[in-house]
Amino acid sequence: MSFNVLIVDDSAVMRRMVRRALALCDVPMGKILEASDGEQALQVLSEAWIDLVLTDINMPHMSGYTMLETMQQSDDLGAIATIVVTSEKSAESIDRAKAVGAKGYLVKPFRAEELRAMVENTLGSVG
Amino acid sequence: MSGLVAVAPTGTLSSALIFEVAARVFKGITPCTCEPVSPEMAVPMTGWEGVVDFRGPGIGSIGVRVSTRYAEILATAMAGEDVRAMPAMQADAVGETANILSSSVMALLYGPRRHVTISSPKVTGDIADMPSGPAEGLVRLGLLLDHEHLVQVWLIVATEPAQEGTR
Repeated sequence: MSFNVLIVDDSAVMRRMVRRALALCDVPMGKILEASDGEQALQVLSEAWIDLVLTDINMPHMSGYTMLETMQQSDDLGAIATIVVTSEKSAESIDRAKAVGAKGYLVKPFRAEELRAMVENTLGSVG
Repeated sequence: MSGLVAVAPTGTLSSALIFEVAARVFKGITPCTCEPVSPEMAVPMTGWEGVVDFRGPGIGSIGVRVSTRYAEILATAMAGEDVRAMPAMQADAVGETANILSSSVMALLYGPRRHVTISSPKVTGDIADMPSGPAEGLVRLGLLLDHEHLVQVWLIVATEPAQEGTR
């Protein structure tokens, strides 16, 4: 079984950083797709099977919170595992992310090993 | 941004503390040595500046300006591949660095439980004069990375008295 992952971040360089960290994971990766905001991510989610979403919070058009809320309220998308990857480190942000279903929360800048551990832990519980 | 009023406690709005935070951020992205230098030292005009605005207990901006060469190093470290020929990636990396730095400085200034809204970073390759403001509301830092790369960080804190303590 391989896992399809969606990376959501308005920063192209951060999407590359996350993609690079994913390549280190021991879990088998299928497709790795990208979106630059929440709106685009929901569009991708409506068209492709995704097992894990890694999302930033502060993005134009639609924030990560709004995207996660929309996913949580959807019968189809509510079960998809989500990890927030953001520079926001306030307790309020962490609480809010958890409230809208995030399984993990990683603060930038992160080490590839940290992301790897969180992804493996999250996908391990899914698989 | 003239005529601003500082709201951060005097002891908190310290160059030394913000230097520590900035050094941690830069070291987290590109392993390097980091030492303070005078913010008056000139940054090459062919560089990038990333600015993030914030609104919470205080209102203000945080800016990071780096040379083109250091932007290339930052972007390559983040992307994990050589992106020296990709200026958009360099701008993106500087904006992301400003974003990360602003979150760390907000936690330092206001603590982890205060509500602070942070804007998306605005990045420009057209570096102007360093911002000015009242001494108590403005912090300017110079950082020398690996004894070679000059980075400037500035922070201006102001407030709208009517909103103080309402969030």
